[in-house]
Amino acid sequence: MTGFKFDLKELTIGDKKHTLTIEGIHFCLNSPERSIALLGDSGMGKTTIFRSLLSKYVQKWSLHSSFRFDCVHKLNDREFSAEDIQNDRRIVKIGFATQFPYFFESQTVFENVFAPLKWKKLKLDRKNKEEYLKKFGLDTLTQKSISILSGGQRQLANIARMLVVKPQLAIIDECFSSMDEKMAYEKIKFILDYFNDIIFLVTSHRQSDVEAFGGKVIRLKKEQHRSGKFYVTQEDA
Amino acid sequence: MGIGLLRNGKLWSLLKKISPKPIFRKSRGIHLAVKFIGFFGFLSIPHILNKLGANPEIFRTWEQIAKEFWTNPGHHLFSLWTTFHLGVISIFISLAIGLFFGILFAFFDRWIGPFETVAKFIWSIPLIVVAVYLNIFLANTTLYIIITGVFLGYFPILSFTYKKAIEENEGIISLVSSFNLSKIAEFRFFRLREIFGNLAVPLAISVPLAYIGVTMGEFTVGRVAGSDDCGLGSDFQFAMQYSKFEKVYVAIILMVFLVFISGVIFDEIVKLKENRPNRR
Repeated sequence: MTGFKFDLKELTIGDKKHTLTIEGIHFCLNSPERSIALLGDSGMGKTTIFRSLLSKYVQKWSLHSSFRFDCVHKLNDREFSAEDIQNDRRIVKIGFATQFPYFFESQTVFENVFAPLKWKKLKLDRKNKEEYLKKFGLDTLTQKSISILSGGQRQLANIARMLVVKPQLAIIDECFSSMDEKMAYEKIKFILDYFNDIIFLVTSHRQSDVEAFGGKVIRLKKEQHRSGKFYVTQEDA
Repeated sequence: MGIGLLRNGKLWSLLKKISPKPIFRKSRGIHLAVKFIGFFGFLSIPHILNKLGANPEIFRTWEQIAKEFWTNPGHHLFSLWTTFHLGVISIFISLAIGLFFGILFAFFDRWIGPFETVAKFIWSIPLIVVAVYLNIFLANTTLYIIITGVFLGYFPILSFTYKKAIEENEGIISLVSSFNLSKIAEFRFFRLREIFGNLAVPLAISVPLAYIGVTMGEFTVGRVAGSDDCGLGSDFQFAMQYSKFEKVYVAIILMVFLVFISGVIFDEIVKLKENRPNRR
């Protein structure tokens, strides 16, 4: 792994009344750096910045009247631009775990966590699957219905499901918010150790979670153009 | 000031105490009982009107109605069966049409605009107009009755299917984005599951409507054929024509029962699903 360079020059989404403009978000992760966290107030666009890596979101935003998107990213010498993302030319494998995950409520934890293998037509034998769940501390819940899990356990199952297909970049969007700080710390350390070739892009409101990832931190701020319009950008290091 | 006193005073707390709302929320049994009381209350309207002196010539007592039913139970039960099974067929066809077009429009995310306008227009035309028109062109009475049932039954299913399939569900969108799933996979793994898992919601509206459509079709057929062998609707029409008001009441009671019970069943399924323990 050589590194990841993220350069979001501009992203404008929304209609004429409500527009979110993000400009000049750039960072570079060189090995052994493995994570970056975005910090900022609610509604500043932390999640949106990372969602801009995913084609489905960009395609949806492109229907907005004021949509503008310009970026050039690079992962392990492979460059991909706004056009590549918008046209769904998937150059890198990106996983995305959201804060409020969707699960098949009538199915077990086991079925939910390994569902992506079926979707992507991948195979993993039963023993490895059980070991995988054990590493996440979900082994005692394997055959339990996902609907009986606590908020923190659901978030953990969501992360386990996202990582089962081993993405190159993993976006973790406030996925530790329902866990207590100690549990969140333990799980973050485990994830960093076990998935040592994945780059983590993290958003969180909790300082301890960001510190547990131990990587770079970017703080977002709001600025005003000469025209009077507000936009979100990053604070200088 | 008066309202303020009422809100803060003892009277307010007393009103809150005796308010039936929390009981309704807590007990589905009581809720259901109130529905049944409402159903029988509806059936008592002729008695109430009679007490008020309205239409005494068409009024019949419960004994007269019961006597009419027991003198010819086979006929009435056959009418009920005819309406019931034609309704079931209409509902299945409504389901097929509603699901097919709902999924098709949601998948391609086009055509729904003009189609919805046309569908709403058809839906808003008084059914009797549609029924009479259809009756002119269709020689097959059974087919005609089914079509009038489908006319009313399909739209809630189509509308629900379409809306559920394009619903902005952050969880689903994040999974589709994360695993880069195709639209076919999105529908196969998530959207269809969501639609079929919640089908009781549109059916609670669609099934009673289909029965209303079916009885309306039977009513028109009965009028044209001048017979009472095409279900409860034709029983009603025939009995009205020959001033057999006991038979009219039997037909009304069975019709209302059918519409009411079909609605209640699906309504209860929806509530059971919503109140399922452990569901988040």
